[in-house]
Amino acid sequence: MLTFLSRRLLASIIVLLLASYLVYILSANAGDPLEQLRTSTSRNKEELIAQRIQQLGLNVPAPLRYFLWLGGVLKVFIGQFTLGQNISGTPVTADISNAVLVTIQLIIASVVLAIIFGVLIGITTALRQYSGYDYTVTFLAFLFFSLPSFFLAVVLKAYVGIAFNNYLGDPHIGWWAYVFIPLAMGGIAAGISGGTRKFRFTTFVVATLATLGVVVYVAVTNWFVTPSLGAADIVMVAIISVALALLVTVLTTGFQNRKALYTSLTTVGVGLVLYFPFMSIADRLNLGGVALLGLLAVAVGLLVGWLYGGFDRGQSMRNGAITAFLTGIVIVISRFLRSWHDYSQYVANGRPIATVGSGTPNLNSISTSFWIHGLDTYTHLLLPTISLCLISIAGYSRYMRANLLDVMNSDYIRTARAKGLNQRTVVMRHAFRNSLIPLTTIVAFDLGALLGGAVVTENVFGWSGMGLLFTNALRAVDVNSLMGYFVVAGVAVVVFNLLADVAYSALDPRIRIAA
Amino acid sequence: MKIKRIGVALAAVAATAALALAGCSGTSNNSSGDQINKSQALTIAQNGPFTAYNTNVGQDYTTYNTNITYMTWASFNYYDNTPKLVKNTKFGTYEVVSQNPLTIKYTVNKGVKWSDGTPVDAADLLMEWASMTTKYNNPKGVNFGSVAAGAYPLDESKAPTIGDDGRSITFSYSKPFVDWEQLAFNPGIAAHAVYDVAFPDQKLSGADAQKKVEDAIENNDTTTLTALAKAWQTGFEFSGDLPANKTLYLSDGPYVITDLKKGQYVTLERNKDYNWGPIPKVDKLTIRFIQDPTAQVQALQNGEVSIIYGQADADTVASLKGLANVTTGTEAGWTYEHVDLTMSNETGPGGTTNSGVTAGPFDPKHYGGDANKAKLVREAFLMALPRQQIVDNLIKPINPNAQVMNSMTVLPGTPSYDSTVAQNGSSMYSKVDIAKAKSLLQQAGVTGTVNVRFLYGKSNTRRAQEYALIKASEAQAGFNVIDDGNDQWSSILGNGSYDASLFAWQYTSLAVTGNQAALQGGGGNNFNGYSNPTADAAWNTLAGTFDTAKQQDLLKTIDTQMWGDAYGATIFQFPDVWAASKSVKNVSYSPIAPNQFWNFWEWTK
Amino acid sequence: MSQLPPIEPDLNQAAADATRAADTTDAQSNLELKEIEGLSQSRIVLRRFLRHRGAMISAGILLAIVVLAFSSEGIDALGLKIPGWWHYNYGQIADVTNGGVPSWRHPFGEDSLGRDMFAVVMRGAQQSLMIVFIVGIISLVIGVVIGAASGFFRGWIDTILMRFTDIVLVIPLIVLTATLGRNFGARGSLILAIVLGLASWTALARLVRGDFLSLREREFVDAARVAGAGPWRIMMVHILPNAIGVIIVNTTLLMSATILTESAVSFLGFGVQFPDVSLGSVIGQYQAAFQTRPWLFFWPAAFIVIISLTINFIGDGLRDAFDPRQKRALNKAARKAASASREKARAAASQNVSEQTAQ
Repeated sequence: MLTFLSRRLLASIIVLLLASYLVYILSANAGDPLEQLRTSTSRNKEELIAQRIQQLGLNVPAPLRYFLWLGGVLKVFIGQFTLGQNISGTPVTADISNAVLVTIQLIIASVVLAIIFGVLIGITTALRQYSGYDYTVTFLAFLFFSLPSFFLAVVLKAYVGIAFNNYLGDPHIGWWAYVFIPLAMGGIAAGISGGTRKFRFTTFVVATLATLGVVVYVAVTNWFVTPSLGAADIVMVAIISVALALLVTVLTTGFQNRKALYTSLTTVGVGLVLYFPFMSIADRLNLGGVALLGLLAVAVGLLVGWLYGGFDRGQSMRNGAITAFLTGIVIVISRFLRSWHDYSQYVANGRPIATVGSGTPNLNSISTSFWIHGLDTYTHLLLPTISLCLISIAGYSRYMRANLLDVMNSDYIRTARAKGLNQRTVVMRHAFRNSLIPLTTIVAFDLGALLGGAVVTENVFGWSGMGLLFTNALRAVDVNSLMGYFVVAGVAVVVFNLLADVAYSALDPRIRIAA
Repeated sequence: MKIKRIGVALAAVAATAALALAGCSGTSNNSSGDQINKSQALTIAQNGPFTAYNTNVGQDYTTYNTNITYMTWASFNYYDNTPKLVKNTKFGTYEVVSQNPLTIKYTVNKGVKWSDGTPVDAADLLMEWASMTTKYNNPKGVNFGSVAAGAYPLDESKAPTIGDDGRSITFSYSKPFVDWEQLAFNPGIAAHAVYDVAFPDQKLSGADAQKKVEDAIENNDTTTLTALAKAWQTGFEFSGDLPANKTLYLSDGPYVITDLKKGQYVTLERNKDYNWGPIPKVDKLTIRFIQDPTAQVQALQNGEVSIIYGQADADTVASLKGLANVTTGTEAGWTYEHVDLTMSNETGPGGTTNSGVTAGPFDPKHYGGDANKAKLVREAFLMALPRQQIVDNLIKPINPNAQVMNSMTVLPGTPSYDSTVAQNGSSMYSKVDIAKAKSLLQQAGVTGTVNVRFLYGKSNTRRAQEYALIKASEAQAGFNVIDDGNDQWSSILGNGSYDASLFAWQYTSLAVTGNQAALQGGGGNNFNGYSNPTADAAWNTLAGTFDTAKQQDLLKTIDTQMWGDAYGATIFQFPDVWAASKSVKNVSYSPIAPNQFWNFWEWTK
Repeated sequence: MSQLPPIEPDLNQAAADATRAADTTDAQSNLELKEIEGLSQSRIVLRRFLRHRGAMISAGILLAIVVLAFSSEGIDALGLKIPGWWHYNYGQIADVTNGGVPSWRHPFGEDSLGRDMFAVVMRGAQQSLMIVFIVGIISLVIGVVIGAASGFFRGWIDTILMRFTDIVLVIPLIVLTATLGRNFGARGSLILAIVLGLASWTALARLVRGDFLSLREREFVDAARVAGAGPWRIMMVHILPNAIGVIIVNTTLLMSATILTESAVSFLGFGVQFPDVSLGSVIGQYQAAFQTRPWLFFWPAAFIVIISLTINFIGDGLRDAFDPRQKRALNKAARKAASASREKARAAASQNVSEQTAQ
C-alpha cells in the first residue's frame, strides 16, 4: 500500500509539473496583459508600461518565466512559499485561500444534496424499472444533463428567486398551483408505490388530495411569509418526528422488530422532552454548540437502543441514532423557521431569496445570531445550489440506478432471495450497500473537479470563488493568478483521484491495489 | 409485496410531513428573540473589487479603488457632472504664484485632519509631490511606482517650499503646463501612515512622523525615501479582509472604511469630524462588487443593491427600463470609438520605425510616394464608412440620444463642439455615399478591389459587430476589408501590420492636451504615423496657451487639418447606463470618473 | 461543470459477464434470445438499437436538425460554398424591423445588427454540430490509439502514455478548453473544434485501455497469437471489434457533453467568436435578452438542449444495444407476451399446488 501510494505520488508530481508548464504557456499566450495601459491616454504611459513589465517580469519570455514562477513555488521547502503577485500586485496566495473557502461553501451543500437525492431517485427508479415513473425520471435526468448550466442559472434567478420574492410581496397563488402541484405529487407517489392498478390509483388520490390540502393551507395562511412555528410548534415537530421514526424502522428492520420500533419511538419522545430546554438556550448557541448537541442526540439514541437490547442490539442502536439525528434536525429546522420572519423582514427587506453573492453585506453588524446567519447562508446558497445539484442529481441517479440493477442481477442477491429474505432486507441490506461502492469513486472524482470551482455558476451568481478567479484571470491574462488557481485545482484532482482509488479498494474486498 | 407497504409508508409520511409543515404556522409575527440591528446601508454595485487604498500607485489605480478613495480623501477640487472643475475651498486653496516659471501654491485649511486626529499638512502634499517626480520613480533607486510618474513636467531640481505653519507647499514646473489645474494635485495617502508602515518599530506620533517625511523629501534623504516609497507602493494593498490596523485606511474625507470582505463588498461610514466640504446625508454606504451586468440588474430588481452604473448592452437597458421603482438613465460617456487609417505603416508610435512591413492602401508609399493618391483612397474609405448605421443599430438601442461624433479634438456637449464641427470639414462624410467613394477611387486611378487589413478587438462583441457593418458597406465601394481582428490588438497597435484600426480613447479629465500624444506627429500614442506640420505646431503652442478662446481656436485648427487629411473618423461616444431604485434620491450621472459617485453627498434614501 | 462521469458502470465487466447476462430464468430474456438466434453480433446490436424507441425518435430528430441546419444555410467551410434555401445568410445585414420581433419574414426574429435569427441559429447549429462531430472523431482516434497501445503493450509504453493522459486529465476540462479557446477561438470554429478534440480524449483512452487490458488475456487472443498474427493484426482484427461497444457508447456520451462544454466556453466568451456563431456564443452574446428579447436567447438554447438530449438518448440506445444486461424494455407487444407467459407459468404453478392439495 505504501509503495503504491509513494509511486502514485511521485508520478502525480511529475504529471502536475508538466501540466502546469502547459497551462503556463497557454495562459501567457492568451492575450496582452498590458492592453489597458497601452490604450490609456496617460501622459506617462511608457513609465506605467515599464512598471507593469518589471512587476510581472514580462521581459522574460514565457517559456523561461515559468521557471521563475516555479522557483517561487519550490521555496515551499524553505518556508517562503509564493505563487507570485497578481496583475494588481497583491499576493496570489491570499486571493486563492479566500476563493477556495467560498467555493467549498458553495459545493458542499450541493454535493450532499446531490448524493442524497441521486441515491433516492436512483433506488426508486431501479426498483420500479420500466414504470411510467422510471421513464419520466429517466427523461428528466437526460433533460437536466442536456441543459447548459448557465441557462439553468439565469432562468432560476428570474423565475424562482425573483418570482418567489415578488410572491412574498404580494402573496397570491395562481390557479395552476392548485392543479399542477397536487397532480404532480400524486403522480410521483403513485409511480413510486407500484403495485396493482387499484392500489396505485388510491395512492394517487390520497397524495393528490393531501398535497392540495397543503397548497390551500399555504395559500390561505401565507405560510411562506411567516413560516414560523407558533405555540403548536411542538405538535408538528412531534408528528414529523414520529413519521420519520416509523419510516426509518420500516426501511431498516420492519415493524416486526419491536425493539427497534420502540427504540425509535422512545428516542423521539426523549427529543420532544428536550425540545423546551433547547428552545430556551437556542438564542445563545453557535455552530459548535449546535453540532455538540447533535452529537449528544446521537449518543442518546445509541443509549436508548442499547437499553432496549435484545437479540439485535446493534440494529436497535443504529435505529436510535438515526432517529435521534433526524429528530434533532427537525427541531433545529423549527428553530430556524422561528427566525425566518425577522430575517426576511429586517435583514433582507422582504426579499429573502438572494440572487447574487454569498452573504448579506455587514451581516455581523446587523445581527450576531447563529440562526439569522444560518438563514442568510441558506438564502444565498439556495439558487446556486439548485442549479449546481440538479445536474449532479441527474448523473448520480442514473449511475445509482444502473449500479443497483447490476447488483440486483447478481448471484448473491439470488442467493439472498432463495434464503427467503423479504424484499426490504434484500434491497436495504444486500443490494443497496454494495451498489453504493462505485458511487464513492464518482463522488470523489466530482469533488476534485468541483474544487476547481463551479465556473459558470459562480460567474452567474457572482460568487467570488475559484471559478470566478479563473475567468477573471484568463480575461486579464493574469498568469500568476491563473497558475495559483491551477495549483489548487490540479492538486485537488490528483488527491481526490488517489482517494477514490484507495476508497474503492478499501470498500470493495474484490479489489486489491497492486503494490 | 413488502415494497408496496413501503410505498404506502412513503406516501403517508410525505403527506403528513407536508401537512405538518403547513400546520406549523401558528400565529404570525412572533419574534424569534434574535437581536437585530435594523439600520441598513445604502448599497451600490460596482463591477470590480476594491483591493488597495493607495490608489495613486500605478497598479492600484483602478476606478474600483478610486471610487472608494474619492469618498475617503478630501480634495482641493472635483469634477461635477457638467463636467467642470469645482473648487472645495473649505478644504484648502491653491493659487498661481508665478506664470513663468509656472509656480503654484497649495494650502490646506486649518482644522482639516485625518481620522486618527493628525492634521492634514504639508507632509501629505510633499509626499504626493515626491511620488509624481521622475527622479523618485526610478526602478533602480527610490521608486514610488506612481500612476502619475512623469506625467507632470515638474521642476525637480529643488524640493517644494513649505509655508503657512506647515500647511502649504509651493512648487514650480519646468515648462509651461496648461493643464496643471485639470490634472488635479491633491494629498493622497496620509504621509504619517506611510512612515508608520515603512518604520513600524519607531511608533512615532502623527506629527513627528510627518516631520520626518518632510525632512526626508526636503533633504533628498534617499535611504529614508526608499523605505517610504516601498511602503507607499505596497503597504496599502489589502490582500484579504479589512486589516485591523486603522492606520492603513486613514480618511480625511466624508467617509471612513469600516468593513471589507474580500471580493464581496466594502462598507463606508460617515467620518464624524468631517466638515471641510459637502457633508453626506447617508450614514452608511456599502459598495458591492458584482461583475456581471445581468446579475447587477437582477440584484437591483431584487433590492439587493440600490444603484448600479456602467457600460451595458441594449437588453440590459431594456430590462432596466421595464423595472418598476427604478430610475434608469442612459448617457454619452467620455470614451469615444474611432477608426484610424494607417498613413505610414513604417512609422511606429513615439517616432520609432517598423521594419518589414508592407505599405497599405492608405500609405503614400503604396503608390510610390504619391500622397494625393493615398489621400483620395482614404477619403473614399471614409465616404463608405457606415457611421450613422453603426450608431443607429448598435448605440441608439442603448442611448436613444446617441449621435455620430464629428470631432477629433472635442467631445459633443462641450462648448466649442458645434462651432468646431461646423468648420472642420467632417460634413463631407456625414452620409455614406457609395457612388462618391467609387468616383474618388476612380479619380485616384485605383482599379480592382482594395485590400484593407482591419484591426479590432475580436472578442469584444460590439467591435466585432461594427466590423461586420463596416465590411458590408465598404464592400459596395470596392474595398475588401480583411478581418485582422485579434484579442491582442492593443499590443499590435502601431506595428504597421494593419491599414485601419477600430478602438476607443478615453478622456479622464478636462485637460486640453489630453489627445496630444495620440494625434501629434511622433506622439507616444500616435499609432497610424500621422503627421501634419500645421497641426503639430498648433499642439506645441497649445501646451503654453492659458486663454480658453485661443485654446479652442488651436484645437479647431488641428481638427480641420485632420479631417482634411482624411486621418480617419470618430464614430460615437460609449453609451453609459445607470439605474437607481426610486427610493434613492439625487442620483445623477457624470461622464467622467467617478461617474455615479460624483455627488455621493447628495444621495438620500 | 466537470466532465460528466460515465453514467453507467464500466462496460468491461459487461463484456466479461456477457454470458451470465442471458438470464434464462427470465421469460423476457428467453423471448429475446429466441428472436436473435442465428444472427451475427453486429446484426443483434443493430436490431436492438432499432428497437430502442427513444433512440430512434432521437436519431430522427437529430437527423432532421442536421438536414435543416445544413440545407437552410448551405455550407460555407474550407472554401467550399453551397448556398442554402433560406432567403437570408447568417452574415447578411438587413434593416431591423419592429425591434426584431419574430415575423413571417423572420420566424426567429432579428438581432441588433439586423441579422436574421433563423439564419444565425441554423449557422450556430451547424457550427455546434460540426464541433461536436469533429471533437468526437478526434477524441475517438486519439483515445483509441493511445488506449489501445497502452492496454495492449503495457509496460513502459503504458506508463508513458498514461502519464501523458494524466497531464491532460489533471487540468479541469473547462479550464483547458477556455484557455485553449482564448488562444485559438478567434481563428474560427474549425480550429476551435480541433483544439477541443485534442483536450477531450482522455476519458475514452482510459476506458479503451481497461478494455484492452482485459481482452488481451482472453483465449481468442492467444489463439490468434499462436496462429502467427502480429500485434497490430491482433489489435485491429481481434481485440478492437470486441471493444467497439465501449468505444461507440462513450464517444456518443462525450459528444453530448461536448456541446455543453462548447456552449459554456462560448458563453464565457472564450470560444467561437463573432462574426461566426455557435449556439453557445449566441446565448452568451444575448444572455441579457432573455426577458426583453426572448427569441434571441431561447431559440439557440432550445437547439442546444434538443441536440444534447437527442445525442444522449442515442447513446442510451447504443448502450442498451451493446450491453444486453442494461436492456430497455422490449416493444410493447413483446412485453405483453412476456408478462402473459409469466402469468401462465404462475397459473400453472398454483394449479399444481391446488392439485396437490386436492390429492
